Amino acid sequence: MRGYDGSAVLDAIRTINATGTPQAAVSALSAFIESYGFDRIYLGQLVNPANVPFKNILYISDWPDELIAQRRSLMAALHDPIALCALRSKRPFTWAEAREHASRMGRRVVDMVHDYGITDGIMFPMHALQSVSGGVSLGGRQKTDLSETQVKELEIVCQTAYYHLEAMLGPFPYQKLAQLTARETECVQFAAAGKSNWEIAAILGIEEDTVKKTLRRAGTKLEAGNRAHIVATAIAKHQIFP
Amino acid sequence: MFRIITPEKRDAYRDALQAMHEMRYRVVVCEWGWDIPGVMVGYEADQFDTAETVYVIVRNEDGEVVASARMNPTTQPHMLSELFADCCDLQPWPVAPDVWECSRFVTERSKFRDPLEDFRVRCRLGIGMTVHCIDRGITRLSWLTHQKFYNHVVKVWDTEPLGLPRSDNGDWAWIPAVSWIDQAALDRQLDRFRNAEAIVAAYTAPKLELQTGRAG
Repeated sequence: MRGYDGSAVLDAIRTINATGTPQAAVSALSAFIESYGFDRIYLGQLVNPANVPFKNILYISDWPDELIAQRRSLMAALHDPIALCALRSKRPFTWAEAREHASRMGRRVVDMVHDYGITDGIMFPMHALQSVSGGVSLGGRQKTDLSETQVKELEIVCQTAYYHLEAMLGPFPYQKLAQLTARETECVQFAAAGKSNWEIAAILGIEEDTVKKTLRRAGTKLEAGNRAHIVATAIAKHQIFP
Repeated sequence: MFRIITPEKRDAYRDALQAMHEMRYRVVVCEWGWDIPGVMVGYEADQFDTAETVYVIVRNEDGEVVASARMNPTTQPHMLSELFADCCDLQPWPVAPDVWECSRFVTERSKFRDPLEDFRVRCRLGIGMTVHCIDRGITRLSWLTHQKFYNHVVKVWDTEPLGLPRSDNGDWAWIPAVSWIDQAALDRQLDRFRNAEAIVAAYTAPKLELQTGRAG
């Protein structure tokens, strides 16, 4: 775009990426969306709340507690046309667009927010390959009329916040940690390459005894007895890279 | 296993490179429907397959090339500088000896048994690229990709967009970006490779549960 100045967007992205706490990240996002007329954020993964508790997923919201409680009691996520559209949509959409095609129950869910002074909103679906889908929904007190460029600006900043928060708050139960620690993996990886304990110690700059203990610990975790068995099991369980 | 094919190794891997270009044709032209000017039938190559291009390929158990990616130096004409310069509206595309451009990240999904194998092959390809970059002192990779893949990449490489998302006809938006490549990135990639089963299982289950509205 000729003459376009994206410095505010880039600043927001860098500010969010530099934050070390969820509160700071959300504050940075809040500050950015304010100038677009939004003051409410609902950010999270889209899952069935009956199956997956909120504590097990990425979920951050500054919506009124009463509204959240009301939505939970009605299992609103299952009827919410905004959530359902977000699962299917590749592009951002307004709450009004989602409401248009909703059932009566769906429209009721969307309209719940009106009682809390939230009038209008926009949803940014978050999809990644091999990841749980999610979204960032922004709400405001007034009807907003955003240009195409403004939608893209909000989109890239919301996307940055979403994945930064996911990385910061995770791993979630579905992102369980690898069976072996990084050090154990390194030792097994070098053992697989035919290195002796002495050589591994020299490469990693640690004591030979530490290598021995680390491999023993890896063997216990992998239920493998000797060096060859540890390597074979680690490969079979995709713990090292053959 | 991945294989990094640098220009000096091309003669030794002539068959693999031939298979890679054929695979790229099947995916990029036949499956994705890209219109590439002057492309030969059955063999996809363009002006960015140059004498300096480095390829990473992944073969399956039968030895077939099932995935590939290419890397080009940004000090030479590359895709962002020649074709997509106007997409970089947030910041200029980086040009430096230690910045290379990644493109044609292609996997032939019809050859995979299941999403898990697909995921692991993508991991291998990404790990191959990172290993090559660390080995050669390449600190950043620039690229242009669709949003779904961008969101996947930010999980392993520290990444900043170079431009705003662009979309045609409501399809996936395209985003130019630059990623920092270092040992921490490689560790994250290896973690994801090791955790593939859990990640892929989680990807399919909860989404389906919400889509069908199934409770309990």
